[in-house]
Amino acid sequence: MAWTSELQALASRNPFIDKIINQGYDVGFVNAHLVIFGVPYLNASGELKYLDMICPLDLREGYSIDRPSDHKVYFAGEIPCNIDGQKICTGTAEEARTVSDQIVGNRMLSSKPEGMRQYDSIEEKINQYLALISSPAIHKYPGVTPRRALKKHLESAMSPLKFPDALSAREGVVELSHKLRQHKVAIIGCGGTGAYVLDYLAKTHLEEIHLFDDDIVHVHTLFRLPGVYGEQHLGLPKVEVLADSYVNFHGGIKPHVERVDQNNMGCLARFDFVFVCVDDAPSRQMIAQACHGASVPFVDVGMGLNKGANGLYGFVRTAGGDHGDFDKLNGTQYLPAQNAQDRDYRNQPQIAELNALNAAIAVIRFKQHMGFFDRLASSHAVVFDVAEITMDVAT
Amino acid sequence: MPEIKNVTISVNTIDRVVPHQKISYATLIGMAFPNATGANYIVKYYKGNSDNLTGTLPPGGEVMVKDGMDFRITGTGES
Repeated sequence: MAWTSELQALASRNPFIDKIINQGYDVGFVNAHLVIFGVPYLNASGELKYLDMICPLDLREGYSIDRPSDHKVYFAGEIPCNIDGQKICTGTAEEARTVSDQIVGNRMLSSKPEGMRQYDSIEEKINQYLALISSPAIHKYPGVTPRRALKKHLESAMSPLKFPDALSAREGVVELSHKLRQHKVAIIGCGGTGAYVLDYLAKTHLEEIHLFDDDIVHVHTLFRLPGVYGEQHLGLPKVEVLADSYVNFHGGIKPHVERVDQNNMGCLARFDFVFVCVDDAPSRQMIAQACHGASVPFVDVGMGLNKGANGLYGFVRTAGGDHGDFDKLNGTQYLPAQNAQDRDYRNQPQIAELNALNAAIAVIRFKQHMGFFDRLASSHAVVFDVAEITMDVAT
Repeated sequence: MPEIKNVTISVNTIDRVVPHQKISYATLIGMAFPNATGANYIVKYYKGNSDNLTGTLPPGGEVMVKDGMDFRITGTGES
């Protein structure tokens, strides 16, 4: 529905109206009626139908909505039913209700709140009717939603995101967020750091996010993933577990249960940016070299922690981010090309908050490259010192 | 030719007695990890000399030690 100045005034005076608009309901305010367009319901044969729910408003001065004086709503269509084909528990009668030339109801529904009392508020009334009318359809047909505006928005936005980017709109950074559109990135290695990189990227407009890892989820993995995963994920490929979980937010996540090596290295040239989140130094060197050869910018992440008498200390390293960084990093301590010689007999701990920090710095560097964030430094590596809480940059 | 004194430095929280002179990246990573070679470790130092209190020692580099100087050394390959 068009965002009229009247609806705007109504929403600004009544938090509930503002709330349902923000939740993606297609709301109209027409001739003192509230209309919620496109509410799904089941008819007596169990078919999916949609109605526009008309609710008269008791308005006070300045668009404030009073407690509803009656308990009826109106619509045009068939009698809404439950999944068993019985009509929903409301009184219903044929009763015309004209809101405007385009919006005319032919049927009335009447349902009182529990205790057969008057509704306390418009919120209670609308929520009760939305639940009564649409729950059976939502239950029977997966993917059906009463939030038509959300659906319309997504169809018109051409975004892989499953929600309208209300955050960027709210913060006034839409044009910056859109800079990530139509770009394809890869996360190579989906351990703790790679998983957190996905967590941040899944909330952006990137067209495709490819995940590469041939490892499975172990119990210790559960402690280093963002969000909560459990027993049902143990033994499954990490990339599939992550993709299944994040597909609810971003439609462009592509899992590949494979390790990136000499055989499939060629695929890196397809990406606009690569996140190298591996724990094997020869692989890191090979992938960084391949990205460089294909002129694909990359960031490489890694940490090292030691246990001392006073707890863990060490460094969280984020290298690269721009074209040409490989030449500055190659052969230095900022792009370890050989595994530490002591790895065989010593565990190098990793802790989730440092995985998250490493991933966050990597994503910031990527977004600087994309022009989302400003960039003053020309460093090719950033080292966070855990014990000292400082960041050093290598230039 | 005055004799070189010894000082005590800390390498990955372990005290080491070393000559009061410059110490190299290669010597330090060897102290921190047996058989460590190459350029795969980040070396930082703290409580150094007043004109060079703290910094990163690059592979092939060396730095003048000071009594009580603190070196921290790790690879950064985990993710």
